[in-house]
Amino acid sequence: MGQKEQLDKLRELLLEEDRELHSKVTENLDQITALLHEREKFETKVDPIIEDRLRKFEKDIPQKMGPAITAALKVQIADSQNEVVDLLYPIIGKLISKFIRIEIQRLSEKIDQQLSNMFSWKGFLRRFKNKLEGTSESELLLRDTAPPLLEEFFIVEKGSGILIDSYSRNQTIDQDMIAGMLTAIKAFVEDAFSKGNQELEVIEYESYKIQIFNFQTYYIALVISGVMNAKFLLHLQDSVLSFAEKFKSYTSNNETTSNTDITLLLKEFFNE
Amino acid sequence: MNKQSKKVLLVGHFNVGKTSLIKKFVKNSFSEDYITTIGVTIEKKEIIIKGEHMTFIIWDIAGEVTIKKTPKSYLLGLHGLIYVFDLARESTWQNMQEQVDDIKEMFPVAPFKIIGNKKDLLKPKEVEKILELLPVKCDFTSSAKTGENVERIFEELGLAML
Repeated sequence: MGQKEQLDKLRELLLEEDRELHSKVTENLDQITALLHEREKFETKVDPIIEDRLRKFEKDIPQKMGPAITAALKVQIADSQNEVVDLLYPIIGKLISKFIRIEIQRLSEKIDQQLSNMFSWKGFLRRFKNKLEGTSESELLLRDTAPPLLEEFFIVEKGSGILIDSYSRNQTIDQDMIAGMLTAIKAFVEDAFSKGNQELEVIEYESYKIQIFNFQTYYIALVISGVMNAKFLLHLQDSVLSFAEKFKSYTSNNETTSNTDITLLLKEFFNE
Repeated sequence: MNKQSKKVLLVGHFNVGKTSLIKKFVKNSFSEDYITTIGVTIEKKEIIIKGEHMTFIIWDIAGEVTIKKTPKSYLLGLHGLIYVFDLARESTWQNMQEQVDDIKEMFPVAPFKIIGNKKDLLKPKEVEKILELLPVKCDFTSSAKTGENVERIFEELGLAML
């Protein structure tokens, strides 16, 4: 055996283990490559891990992310206070205090009505007449009073008094002028008599009433004819608040909102 | 065509012709009788400036009006201002510098014009002499009676507010 052959033999003996290892590694690498390139196979291996991690993440969110989210929200709210207030105002606003006031008014109306019916001659006669005619008393009472009717609707920018849009059953005088004057009257009353952050809410003249609903950047003025009771006011308030929500989403979601869109919304409100 | 509404306020001493300027611009009318404005009056006029449809909502505030005496709520959301003085009455332009400084301080970005009104009461040479004496440069001299420059004042202000 020559020297070269002896060396080859020695190399073969020494590297045999390495060769086997190399071929095993290559084989494994091929398998892994195949696993990575075949989605289904890869998913079966990875999905359980991801799911497990997600479950853990979900569990840890309040603890780990809570403070960061709260801090980010605080900054966001501080940076866009007007938007946040505008968004929440229609929903919460002065709803609670108004609700209590209206409920008390309703109760008072009910007591007044019952007392007057109970102790007046008119009441006795009416009850007698009802029995003879077979009609309900509430029907007769309603006939005696003029039912409330929403005549006009104005959305006005606060401060400037610029009319955003309006809707009217009967077009009377210039709507821009009304919006301006209403704003001036509001400003005068609020400057002269207001204590704290109070705002003008009602203007009454004979059988007409202008009901004002104040929001952060605008106010809604409704002209109502006839006799308005607490029930109607409550219904009106609910309708205005849901209108304000729609109006807000119109103006915030669509930067190019035209007055036509708002007019359509107003028409919808009137048809309610 | 785009439509935009602009709130414009007129300030200045009493009886300088604020209401007359507005009446001339809005209704093209003039009255020699002086009727002091009570509270505030709102007037409206639509014009077209550079193809833009502009609605002026003009707030005419009662009597002696300096920007600092004007109720704050009347000033909210304004887009432009007109400061009016009477060319023929020195007391109305003597302290003009202070007034203009106050306006610039309170409304640094709102366009405003300084108007010397009642030009019809003076001879041209007298007007020239008064203009030289003014502590602040006057943008226009006008006459609500003859209508001189009235439209132009609002057009220029409208242009600045575009």
